[in-house]
Amino acid sequence: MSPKPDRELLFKEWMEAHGGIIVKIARSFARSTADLEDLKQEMMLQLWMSIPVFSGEAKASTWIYKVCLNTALMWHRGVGRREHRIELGADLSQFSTDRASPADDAAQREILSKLYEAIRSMPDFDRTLVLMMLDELTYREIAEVTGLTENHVGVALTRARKRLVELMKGVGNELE
Amino acid sequence: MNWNDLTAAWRSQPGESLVDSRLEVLRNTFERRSRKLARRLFWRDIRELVAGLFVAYVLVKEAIRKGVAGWPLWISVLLVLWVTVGFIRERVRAHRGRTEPSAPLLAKIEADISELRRQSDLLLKVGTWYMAPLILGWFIALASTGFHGLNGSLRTPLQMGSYLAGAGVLFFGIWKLNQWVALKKIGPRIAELEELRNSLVSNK
Repeated sequence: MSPKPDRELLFKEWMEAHGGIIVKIARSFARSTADLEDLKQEMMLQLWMSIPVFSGEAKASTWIYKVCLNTALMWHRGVGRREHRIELGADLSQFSTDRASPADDAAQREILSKLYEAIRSMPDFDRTLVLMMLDELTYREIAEVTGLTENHVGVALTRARKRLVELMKGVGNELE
Repeated sequence: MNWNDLTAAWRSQPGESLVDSRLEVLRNTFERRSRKLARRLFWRDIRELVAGLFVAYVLVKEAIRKGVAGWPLWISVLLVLWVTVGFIRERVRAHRGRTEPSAPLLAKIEADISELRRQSDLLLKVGTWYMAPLILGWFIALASTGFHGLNGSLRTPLQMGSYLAGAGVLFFGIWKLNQWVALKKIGPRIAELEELRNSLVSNK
């Protein structure tokens, strides 16, 4: 990758290859459709603005996780206070990221819906951890995103995983 | 459900692509928004600068008009400029010290806490670094006129009292507002971020 990547091209590549990260994080943090769109826009904006400092040394997915989780955590905290958003009008609404529901199977969709609900009910940090864990990031990558040591990440992941499993207990049975 | 079931459900989501042929629209929107934000910050700083320079200019003009007798006004000018420069320097420092959005979560949170603490500290101490020099400058300017009004006549005790009371209320209002913002707005935000930071570094 060149040291100064073409901004537009790189952004397009990121959206093509890693757009799912944005959608998943937004769904895990936003509680309403309006918030979901708002957060997605904010994450995309922050990614766009981060491109000039992206050297290409970091893995794109790790970079995207860092930028998007930072945005989501700060957005979440300021959601009730943040200044009036600059109206983007219809421009960005054209970039609908909610494609048709992913899972064909209704039961699977229901499980996913419950899973997102459970993730949203978790404390912020546990939420960020399970998101990366479910997306199969390595301990090293998670440590890079969070700024913690790998050992610390290991301990925290075990705790977060237990919490999520606990929250999802009985969901499978409910649906049978 | 066990962990494997959860990961299986998670993987059933397709890798959604956000690419769109209207990338041009997106780019323009982001660029427009970035420019708007930069413009707003630029004009905010210019306003501070112009206000400070304007007050200094009025005082300088008066000091020159008074000649040697106007020397105390030069102290007022220096005090007003000191506050203005302090304002601008603080803005530049905050701008340069910004953390990149791609910083690790912990570093970003630490940096935000540190910046908010600094803002809170500045607001809580507004009486010393901002208001005291201005009040002193104002009082020097007032005293240097021999407590005469603009038309040269000596102010009556009632006029002086009203003048001082009005200024007192204004300065107290500014001080109170800053305390309120620091304690009610920034304080809870610092607490939230500290809680998040603690959850990150805690193994419990």
